[in-house]
Amino acid sequence: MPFLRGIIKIKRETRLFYMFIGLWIIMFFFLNVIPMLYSFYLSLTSYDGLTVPRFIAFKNYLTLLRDYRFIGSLVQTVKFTFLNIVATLIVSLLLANLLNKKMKGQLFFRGVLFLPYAVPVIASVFIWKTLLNRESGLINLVLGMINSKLSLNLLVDTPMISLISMFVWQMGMSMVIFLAGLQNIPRDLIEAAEIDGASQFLIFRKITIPLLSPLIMYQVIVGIMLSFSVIVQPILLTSSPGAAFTAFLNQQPPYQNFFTLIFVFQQAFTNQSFGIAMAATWYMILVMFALSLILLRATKRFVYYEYE
Amino acid sequence: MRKLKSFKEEIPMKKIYQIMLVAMLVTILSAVLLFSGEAAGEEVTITLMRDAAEMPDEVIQAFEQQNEGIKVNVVENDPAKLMAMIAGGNAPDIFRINGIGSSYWIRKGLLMDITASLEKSIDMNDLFLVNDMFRFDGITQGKGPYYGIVKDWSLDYMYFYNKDALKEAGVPMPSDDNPLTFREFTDMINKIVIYKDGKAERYGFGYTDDEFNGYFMYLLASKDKFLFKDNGTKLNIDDPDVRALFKWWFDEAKVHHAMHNPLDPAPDWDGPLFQAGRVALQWDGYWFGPIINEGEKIPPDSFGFAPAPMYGSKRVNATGGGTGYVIYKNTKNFEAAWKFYEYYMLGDEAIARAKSGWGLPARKSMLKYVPQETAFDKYRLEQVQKELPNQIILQFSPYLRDSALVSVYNQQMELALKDKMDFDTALKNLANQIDSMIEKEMQ
Repeated sequence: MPFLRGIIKIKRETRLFYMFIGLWIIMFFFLNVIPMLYSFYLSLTSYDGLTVPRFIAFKNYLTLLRDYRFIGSLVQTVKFTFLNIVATLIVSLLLANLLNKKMKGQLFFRGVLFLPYAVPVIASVFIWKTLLNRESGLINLVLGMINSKLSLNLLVDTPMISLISMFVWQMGMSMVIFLAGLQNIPRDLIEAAEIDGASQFLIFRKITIPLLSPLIMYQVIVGIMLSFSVIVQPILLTSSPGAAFTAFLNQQPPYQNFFTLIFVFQQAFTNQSFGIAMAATWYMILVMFALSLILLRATKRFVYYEYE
Repeated sequence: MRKLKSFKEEIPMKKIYQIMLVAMLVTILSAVLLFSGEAAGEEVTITLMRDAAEMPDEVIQAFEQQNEGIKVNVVENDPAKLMAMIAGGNAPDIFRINGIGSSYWIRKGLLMDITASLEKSIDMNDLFLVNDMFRFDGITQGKGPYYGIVKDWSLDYMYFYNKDALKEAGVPMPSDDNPLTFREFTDMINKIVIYKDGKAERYGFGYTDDEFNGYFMYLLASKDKFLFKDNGTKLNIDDPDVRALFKWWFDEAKVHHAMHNPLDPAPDWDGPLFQAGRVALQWDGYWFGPIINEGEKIPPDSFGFAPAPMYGSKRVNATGGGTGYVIYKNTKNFEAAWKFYEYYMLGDEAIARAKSGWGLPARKSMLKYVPQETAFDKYRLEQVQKELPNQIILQFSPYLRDSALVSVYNQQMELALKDKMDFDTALKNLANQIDSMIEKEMQ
């Protein structure tokens, strides 16, 4: 049999390679590729989750282009992604740089600053909701001690900043990645710069940042994917009224925190429009793809690889 | 040091194939065991979607002990999960819905007609009118076969009020017998609001968020009008009374700060707020009573329980939610599902629910079990019984899930509340969205 003879002719190492990754390929196909293809198919139908899907071609895509709430949600998602990534990277890089220096309690501070990352999502939402609560939150409690009339309605007036501050609080993993990167920077480069009279800021700008640029780029790309996936935190942290008796389905975050994935969820499970929900998801994928392409182009200009 | 052999020599190919074969067999066997169906024999498993707070595990375990051969697979109540399970073809056999939205489920052909089974189990005249919420003949809610019954209920448009708050605001106490007009009711709630430095220290009224459509429907019924027109195919937004109610609700939030809303969210649900005096009036029915009784935190005689205000000339009251359980139309285990249904909805568990005081029973013969030890419990039951002759069945659209209007209102009105859009445009967008959802359902 020529086919079998062909397989036997393939190098043993190559056969082993495919055997070991075979399971992953099968799982990738069934858990990623097929669901994606099915979601694209559903986006071309008027499926309500209960009856047989009815094919309507690209009508859902056209409907979404005229839906101001969908467009608004995309704008807010991109805005949140940008602000969240910038804030998280700046804070985590500065803290990593600080923790890279020899000082007393270095291990303790590294542990404490990493700890929030380990807090589960729901718990962290409730911690921040308690902190920012207008009536009994710690921030307003302290402000009240200064002046009884001082009271900030942060969750209502600045919902996106409230949300981003929670994400920045959980920047532990980003900080650890930067710390590892900083520790890989050759010490002799820094010393040479110091001997030449460079200030700490100049060293940071001309040596540290360029050498960390691959890690920064990696964190930006991961940050985009994670920011676009946010759904639970804005609903639980900044949703309006009702508490216990409002089903999760009906909870509505303020428009500043109304992201595309929340729009998708509402379309699917409140409005019973799975077709629209899937079309919105594909638009979201396109936007993420476009952002990633822009970043990859930026890689050539802004990212320095030592092996180049 | 031992000389290392090459990879080929260290691990022969044959050995690798053997290891992989064993690994595959183990995986397949585990999958078979994990996903294997019921054991051979007579045991039947039914899937129940329930709310753990209202149906604790002990209730289910007691049923299993009494019914050997029936196993109950429990899934926690979650509307999104329910939709996913139905879409995935593994819907629960028994699940929980609100009676107000039952016409949607019935129209979709998802619920079992249980009329014949009910007739065999009980005298149908023993059922309170509220159970008609689970009847739908294709046109009118309240007529046709039974597809479920309520687990308990209240007349939701009566209200508890804090007498001290009314005295403080200089507002006369509402009568126990004669309802206020809608204008008088509005004046009262606006006077008892305390609003300082951009936040309500005391809300004028509390309400059940998820059932806010019910308030509109019952108020309109007082004028023989409906929230939806043309057999539930369009939101009746052209009717001036319907528009006026949406404007009223909007203004109560934005202008009068009378209730929790996106501009002034409540820190907790209305129960603790009412106990703390942060909500002066709770526009909810009998079921809210235990909050007042709870742990003797507040003296019950500080509260009154008034009849529902009247929007028009007709005195009406209704149930806005009517939570009950239903059986999935395509259940493979109807007999077992019905046994559980009888046990929980019609038997001793129903009596236990009546005794708890958290709601009135579905059956008239069980009304005697409702708590009447304290003066307050006697009073609230008396007030309900006075309102019973005014009970009607509310008509929701069979093309919408009952949560849809609440969700769309929250989605569309927020921009108007925050002055990013004017009220009329937001209302038009709301109506357009609801109408297009209905249109999609009808296709």
